[in-house]
Amino acid sequence: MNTQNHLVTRWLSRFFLGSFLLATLLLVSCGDDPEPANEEELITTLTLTLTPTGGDPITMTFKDLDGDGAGVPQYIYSTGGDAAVLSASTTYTAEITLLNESVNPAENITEEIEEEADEHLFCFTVGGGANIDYSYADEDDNGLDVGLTTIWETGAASTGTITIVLRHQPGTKTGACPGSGETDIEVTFNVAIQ
Amino acid sequence: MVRDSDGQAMPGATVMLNGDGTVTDAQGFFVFKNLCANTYNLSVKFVGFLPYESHIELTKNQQVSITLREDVTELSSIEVVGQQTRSAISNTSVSLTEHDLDHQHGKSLGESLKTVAGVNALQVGPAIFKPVIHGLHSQRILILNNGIRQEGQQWGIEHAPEIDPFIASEITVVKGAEAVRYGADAIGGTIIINPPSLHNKAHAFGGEINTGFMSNSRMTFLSGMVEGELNKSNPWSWRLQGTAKRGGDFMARDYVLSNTGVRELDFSGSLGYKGDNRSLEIFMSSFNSTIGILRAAHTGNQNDLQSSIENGEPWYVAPFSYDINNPKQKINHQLLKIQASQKIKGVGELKVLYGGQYNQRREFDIRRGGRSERPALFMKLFTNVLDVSLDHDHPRHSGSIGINATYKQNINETGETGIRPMIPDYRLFSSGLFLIEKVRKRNWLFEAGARYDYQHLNVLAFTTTNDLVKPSFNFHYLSGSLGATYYISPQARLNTHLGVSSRPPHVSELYSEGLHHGTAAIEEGLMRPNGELLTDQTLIKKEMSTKWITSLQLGGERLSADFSVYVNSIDNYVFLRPVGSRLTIRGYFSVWQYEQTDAMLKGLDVSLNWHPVQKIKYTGKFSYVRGEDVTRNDVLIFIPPIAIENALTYTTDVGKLKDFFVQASIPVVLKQNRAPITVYPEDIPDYTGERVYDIAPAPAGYTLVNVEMGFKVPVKENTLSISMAGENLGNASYRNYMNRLRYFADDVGRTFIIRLNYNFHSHN
Repeated sequence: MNTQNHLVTRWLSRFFLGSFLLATLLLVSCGDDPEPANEEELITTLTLTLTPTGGDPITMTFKDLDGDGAGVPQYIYSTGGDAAVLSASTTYTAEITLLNESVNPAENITEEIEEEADEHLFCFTVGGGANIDYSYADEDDNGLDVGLTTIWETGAASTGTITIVLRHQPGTKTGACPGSGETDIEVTFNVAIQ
Repeated sequence: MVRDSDGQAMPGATVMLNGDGTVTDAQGFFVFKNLCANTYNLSVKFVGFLPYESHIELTKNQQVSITLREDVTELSSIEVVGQQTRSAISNTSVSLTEHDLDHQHGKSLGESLKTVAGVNALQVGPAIFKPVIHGLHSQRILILNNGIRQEGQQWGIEHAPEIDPFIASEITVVKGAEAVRYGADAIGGTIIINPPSLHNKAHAFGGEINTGFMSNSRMTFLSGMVEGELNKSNPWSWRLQGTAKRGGDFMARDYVLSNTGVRELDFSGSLGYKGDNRSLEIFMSSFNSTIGILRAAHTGNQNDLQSSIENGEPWYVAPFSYDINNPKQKINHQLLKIQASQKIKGVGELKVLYGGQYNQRREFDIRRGGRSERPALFMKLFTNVLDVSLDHDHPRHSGSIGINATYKQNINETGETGIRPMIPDYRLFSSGLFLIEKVRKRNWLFEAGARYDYQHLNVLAFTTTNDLVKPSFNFHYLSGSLGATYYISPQARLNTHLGVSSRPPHVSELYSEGLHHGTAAIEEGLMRPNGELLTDQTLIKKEMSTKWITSLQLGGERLSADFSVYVNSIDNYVFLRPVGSRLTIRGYFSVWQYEQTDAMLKGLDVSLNWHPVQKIKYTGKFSYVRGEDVTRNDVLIFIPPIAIENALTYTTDVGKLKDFFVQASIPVVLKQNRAPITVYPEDIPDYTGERVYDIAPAPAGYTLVNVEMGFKVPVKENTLSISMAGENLGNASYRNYMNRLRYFADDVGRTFIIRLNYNFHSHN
């Protein structure tokens, strides 16, 4: 009995020793704290700049610094209030800029879209009776619309909305809206034409 | 009759005669009537004892007396329905035998398990199946992979078990709450994956090759296994096993399900020593898979989701391809097990088990700026388990006392992903102490068990402004179970089992934060309401489950059946509830919050085997589960609908072809009439109600037609089995309520499968 016990203890101690050696090998337990994610792909800010021929630009900005987080996004209109005020019967050059302001310094995402223009398409929807016509003023390598630059023609005084949707269509872009793929941006601005 | 080596009668042993089974009665007797004169395979199994097998020639009425010898390693053969086992599994289980598993070859573990009444699967497309037992899944189900708790990222809806079903010779589903033996993650049930025992071979060297082809997805699989003894006089045995699988896009009736391919490469090896009083087993396995996610199931915001549901078919369909593009998952799971046992005279058997696991999960998404090569989610989970138990086994009573210790570490590689992780890094230490005892008294078998657990959880989470917060929690929780089995007759027994258990919420339920692309939903944990980060432990309520299950099991030669009814009342049941809609730069997303409520699950499973004549077998299965949110007077979401299956099998020998069989089965799945209300994605921003909703109505019920035929060809001493199956022969287009891809596409259409199995061995 004694020898058996002795054997058992010897055998078990060997076993445990082996186990723990293995455990220490398997455990890359570093006490290091994790680093926060550097969300370089996030788009936080969309600015639409409308420049009338020979006039001062008007901007409308949508800003949501926390991505999917619970923070409430802001709308900022250069003309003040809660709508962009445009002049009737005017031609504007509209340019979209995208930023990631969650990183410091802020990153310009517009360039990323330009580089992958053949995968991206901005779609615009005029709603609520605003008298606006728009046309695309840029194209990708395949001759398809992109929409980073567009030309807007305003008509008679009216109010309404303009919705900007960025579609991501790797390999499936046809230039038609909305087309296939996923929505990367969907922002609606209020406009007032006076 | 059946006796043990002390001459004691053994009630409850399973006796099989050419595939027909019965169970010995309280005096150890069994009877087969109305047999033809022939040679029969007789086998007797009883857990904890070496299986007995022999060929007997029956010419007239005969009495057979069998003595079973105790098996010293027994872990490989846990449980055939309703037997006593040393590891004290309750009698509420159903097993898939090797024969059952043969018909599932090529399918994933979760899909194979759907053949058990009461087991369903939560699916994400045609290749990702999560087992659902009696309406519960994920962290409420425990999978025991070769004796070790499988530790992957079970919490995710699209995270299937990382196990190669080819390693198993038997899979047992325990429907009772086995929380006492294994811990609180067995509230819903336990799945036990058992490889064949290393040491029960009559030959020195042998093996098996399985291969097959599936027309739908054009999948080829190949799995091989070789095993042997190091040398004849030596108590060391070994086994090597490997599986390779490659499939492309599945097809629904009307279109290709683009990007649903699968690739898998698994291997495992074991080495075992078995002496008279001690044993040692080392097992290693490696599971590596790449699974495509239906391209069209990757949506942007709610409006995208709305148009997908309106269209009724996927927006992206390409010609068939073996390519797996984003979105996809790459999963690796490595496991090492070392187990030793030592018999101690007069006390019992001491078992020590160490298990190390490393689970690596990478999910790839459609990203901008050339980042698609980088995973969008990259998690590493290291788990170390140490179990020590002392089992005793006497003719009249048996039981086990033991401790478990687990240390887990979850690491997000956010440097690689550049995306905030879904669940934070954490470290978890837990330990448990359990005690189980079973007592046999005449026609009764009683079991009782108790367990105490302690868990220390350390979470490393970031606030929305990227400050690191490191809350710690300490949980203490108890589980207990009581059960009784009454052997009514040699062929019938009644079993009832009550399990009470509690579990603290999982880290994913506490601290999830992030977006699920498949449902355009932001999910937030119990401790992250509206992006806050709470750390106060008093806010956390443990989930408490009380499950009562009663089964009547019949094991006659012409009729065998299992009727089970159960009630599972769960207090503080953790579930996801939609709480509103959130505007982001990408548009609107619905926000789902983890909450707790009192829930009730009730149900009924029936399975029936009947031989009206010897060559014909009828199999019927029925399962029903009703889920209820008691507090909120609502239904529970994603509860499996009623399923009924009828099958007829004709078996005969045709000349040299043995076991020729033809089988037709008709699975019917009814519509889930207790589905939550429907709120379409476009209506979510205006929905102000409190109820859980689904973004599309439950799909209609459906009926499929499956046929299968097969036979065995003797090749010298070995056997080649060939089978051919056609599934969904009518090429029905249907959608399954439990498949998360039903919002985007139909389910898989017609498929033909051919399977070959070759067994070989040599007596060198």
